[in-house]
Amino acid sequence: MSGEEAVLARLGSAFDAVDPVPLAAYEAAVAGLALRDVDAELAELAADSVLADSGVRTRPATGPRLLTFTAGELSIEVEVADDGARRRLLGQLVPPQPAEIDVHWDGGASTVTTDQLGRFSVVSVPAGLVSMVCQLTDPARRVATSWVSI
Amino acid sequence: MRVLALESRLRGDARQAERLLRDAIEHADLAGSQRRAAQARLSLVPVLADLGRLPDALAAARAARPALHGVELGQLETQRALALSRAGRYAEALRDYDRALRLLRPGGDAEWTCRVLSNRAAVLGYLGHYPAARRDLQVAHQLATDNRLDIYAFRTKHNLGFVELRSGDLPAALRSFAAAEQWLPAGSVEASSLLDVAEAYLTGRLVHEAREKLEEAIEALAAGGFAVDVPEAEVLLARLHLLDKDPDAAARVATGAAAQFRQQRRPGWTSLAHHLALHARVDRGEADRGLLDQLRRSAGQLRRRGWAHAAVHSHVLAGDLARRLGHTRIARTELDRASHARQRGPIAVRAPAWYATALRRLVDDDVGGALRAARAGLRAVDEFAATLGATDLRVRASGWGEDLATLGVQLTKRAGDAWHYLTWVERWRANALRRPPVRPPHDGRLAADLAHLRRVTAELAASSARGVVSPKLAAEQVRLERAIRDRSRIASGPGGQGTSTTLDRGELQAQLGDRALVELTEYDGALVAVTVVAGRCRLHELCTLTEATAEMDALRFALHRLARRHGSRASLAAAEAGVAHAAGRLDTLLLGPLLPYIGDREVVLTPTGALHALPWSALPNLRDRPLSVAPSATMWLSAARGTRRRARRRGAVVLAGPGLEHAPREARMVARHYQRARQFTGRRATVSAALGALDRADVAHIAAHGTFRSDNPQFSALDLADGPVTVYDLEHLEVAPRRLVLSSCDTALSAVHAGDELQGVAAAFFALGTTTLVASVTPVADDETHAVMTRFHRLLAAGSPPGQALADAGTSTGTLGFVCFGVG
Repeated sequence: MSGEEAVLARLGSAFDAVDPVPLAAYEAAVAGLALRDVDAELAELAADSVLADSGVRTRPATGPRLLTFTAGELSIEVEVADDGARRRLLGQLVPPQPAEIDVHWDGGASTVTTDQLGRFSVVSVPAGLVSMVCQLTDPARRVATSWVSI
Repeated sequence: MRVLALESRLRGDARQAERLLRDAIEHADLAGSQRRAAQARLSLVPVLADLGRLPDALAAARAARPALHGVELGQLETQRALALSRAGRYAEALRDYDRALRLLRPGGDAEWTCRVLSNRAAVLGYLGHYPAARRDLQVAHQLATDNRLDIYAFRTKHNLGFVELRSGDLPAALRSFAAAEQWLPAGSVEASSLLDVAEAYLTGRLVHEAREKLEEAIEALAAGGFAVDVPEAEVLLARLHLLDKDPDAAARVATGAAAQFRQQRRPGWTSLAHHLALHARVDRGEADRGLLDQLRRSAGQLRRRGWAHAAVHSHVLAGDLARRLGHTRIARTELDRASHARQRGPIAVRAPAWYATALRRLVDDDVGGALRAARAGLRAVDEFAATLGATDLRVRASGWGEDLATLGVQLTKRAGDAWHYLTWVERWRANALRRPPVRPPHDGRLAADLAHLRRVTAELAASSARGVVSPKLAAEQVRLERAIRDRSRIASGPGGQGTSTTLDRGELQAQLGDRALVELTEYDGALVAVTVVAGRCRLHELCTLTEATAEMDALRFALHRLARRHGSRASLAAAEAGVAHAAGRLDTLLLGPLLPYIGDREVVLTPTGALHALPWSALPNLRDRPLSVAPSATMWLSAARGTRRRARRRGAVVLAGPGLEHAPREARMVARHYQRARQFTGRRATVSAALGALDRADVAHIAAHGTFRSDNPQFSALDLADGPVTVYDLEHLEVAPRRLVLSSCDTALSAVHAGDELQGVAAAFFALGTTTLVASVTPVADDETHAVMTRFHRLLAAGSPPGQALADAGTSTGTLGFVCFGVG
């Protein structure tokens, strides 16, 4: 993460504490930063289970959260679960395909590879903003998700 | 000026206090007043001790002595004793306290007498003289309250908690700490007492809460300039990291603390911190002669400096390491020294002392004797657990038996006898659920807090549905949850021996009949299954736990998306494929090796660790098969025999919570299958109506929103009309429904603690006497759930047993999250 992004992330958490900005507006603004990776297409947040009427037998906003990012016909499905103060991400690329995924957060990153079903998992991600950059191989393509707060 | 300095010290600024007192001494010397100078020096002694400068403190005491007599000399002896006890020189401190009492009593100074008695009790506590310590504190507390000395009323109560903790009675300690607080002015913090509370939390293995207290204490200490106490907090932090299986962090913190103590010339504390650093190195896997020699030296030092408990730990570590390195003679000596501590004191000492006894016998190749010692140690753990009233403490207590149980499991596994191995696994599995449930005390404050929490949580849920979250309400929820959590932990358990039983082979086989028992166990990171089929007991090596857990996580992820219908059609198709793939892999890994033995029999399955969250009916070989999942074979057996909590039961109860389109219809449907079922829907489905109706019900069905709280499973809940009914509320039931259906998301999820101790909604019902429970380990869709439940109850009414009915209903509707627990 560049200096600017770090500053923005910190500013973000300051606002979170003092005067929280509506989540969607916040994420849209931060998403702009991902465009700095000029080679990468942006996968925007298309669905968030916290904001959806669930139709399941649990209160909204409890338990793991489901996010969907889309770029054209590609979607990246992600589940975010609490693991103490950290987060665990499980994901799947649809359509399923091999990819290398860099998960970026404030002050760190981790690289994972998908399995034959396009599934991946990342443990011990600090709470805060994250973005995933997927390097697809067939055809070669870079797709970066917008930054979201987890 | 001396008064000013005392004020500074009370406010916690030791450096400022020292400056003021040095000025006072200088002025008194200039004015030629030896007595004034001596008085200032008297006040300087504890200040220097606070700053960690023991030699300076003792020098100040020496300089003051000639000019003081009577009560003032008594005060000086008191301050000197305090400085000495801080340095771990307990014998000298006790002598000074005795002298101080003789000097003070003629003057009748209540405040100083309180101080001496209270401090002496702390030393007596360290040395293990608990009755004498309690006596001192009772006298001192009475004196303090008679004389309206609130701060001493606080300290004496608080120190009583410390003594109770050392003596091994955790709830009594927590009660004393809580009672002490009422004597503190509102909003004030006593850093050193926070450390005692943190230590109590470590005994309760409450890692998260202990960390919170330590952070709070370190902050208060650093702000007040009490440098001396910061490394004391770090000693506890190092112990916390060891408990949390993070030896790297423990080594770092303990080494840092040792260096600070050395600088402060506090040899007693230095050796304690050094011991923890060595412990961390052992836990990191270091094993060489150099480390062994250091451990032995450390054990001797700890003993000489009054750290009896830590000395036991050091002897165990040294003995075990010597044994592994083949130094038999050293191993015998060290383990013998540790074994002595097994009969009394806190469990944190007794359990390792029994472990030492077991290892000692192993050194002489007495495997039978080692196993007997390990069993005896686990009985000590049972006894400790039986002193605890709160569920969240009881489920963690088993953690103290981990080394003992692991040893037993290793020895029996090596011997290769499957049945013997199974009985050892069972000895340490889900013991908390087998103990008779402890009813929370009828506590007005607790009840009021629970009712208040319900209102706050309901309001929060309503407001977040409108897209607004009130920070004030959220903060109130956090405050109430803490108050309830802390309050519940002061309850004592029934005491006594606990309920350790040995699994009876004949009885198990008789109850299993044609069913197959599949018990999953973890052995050194790998999954090992034990099967009992038609009288034969076998061991089966499966995959690693990590491999199975990864597939389970993938399976749950895919089922979650399907339940929420989250994503595009292509995405849901990918999720379907994900379910098929993960379920197939798990089937191959977990069941493949067993199929030749279990065939198509009905299965009784006991999972382990993370696998408690596995939706078993998703596995192809379990999909159409009647299956019951149980916390342990012992639990299943006692439920199957029907001997658990025989009670007069009354009828059926059906409840529907708010906010679910299909729940009221489902409730009416279920009610039709039972005669005179009591039905609560809409605004009538309140928490108090539910608790009243569920008590002693024969059958109950609850269709409601369910939540699992991984941060604190005791607040996992079912949503009713006036708010959530939490595990804390459920524990007020006298007798839980015999047969229960929780038609909700996630209510079968449990936190899994060491010893496969389960904590959550389902575990609570089991502990309270439910024999059959149908509930989900995943989120479930409202409409699909209605469909599967309609089918399930129809089959049940037609005479199908619950396990069979659920398998058939699941197959015909394709819903996979529900599991039948207990007796199918």
